[in-house]
Amino acid sequence: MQMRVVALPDGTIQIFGDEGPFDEARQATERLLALLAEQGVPVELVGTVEQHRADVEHVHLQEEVRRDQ
Amino acid sequence: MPCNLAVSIAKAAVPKERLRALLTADAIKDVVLTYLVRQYAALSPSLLSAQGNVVRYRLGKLTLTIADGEVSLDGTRMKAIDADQLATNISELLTQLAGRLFQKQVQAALSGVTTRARMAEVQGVRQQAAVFTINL
Repeated sequence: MQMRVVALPDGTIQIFGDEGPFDEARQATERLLALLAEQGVPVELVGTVEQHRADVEHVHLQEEVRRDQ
Repeated sequence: MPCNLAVSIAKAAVPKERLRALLTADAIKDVVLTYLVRQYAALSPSLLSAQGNVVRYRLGKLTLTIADGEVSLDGTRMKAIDADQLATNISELLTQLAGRLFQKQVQAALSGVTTRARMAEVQGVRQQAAVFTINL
């Protein structure tokens, strides 16, 4: 499953499941959080994994400013 | 990819003390010294010591100490600089540095599953986001 992780400089991340059913995206999000914890980044979920709706507040990105790879 | 194609959204955070813990002496000593030399060259800033999470610098008659990300100043105040402003500037620099270190930490943690990494700006807020596309 393709996911996007947006890491912000305030120590928060936002995780977007980009495809598939919501249930699978939710499970992938949980796997991702477990992976981060295993790798020494103990991020804690704030609230719950939400199904995307227009009224769910989250970051919007604008133009790409630097490509790393 | 526009967010209206997302099916799920989750928010997570590291505790603030974990962010501060990234500010080790090794991580900050050169960054802060470079800043001090650029901004306060007339005071001939120099590194006094760097051990654990404590770094000390000399600026003229002042000693600047950073301990666990907290900034303090000792010594004779000088008319040439606003000591409070100096402490504020260093605190802001450390906050920015902790953010960059956090993003690098996430990048390293996800390196095995990342298919694309890029930097982007968050709309409406002047901050850079590290964006990773991954396959799980």
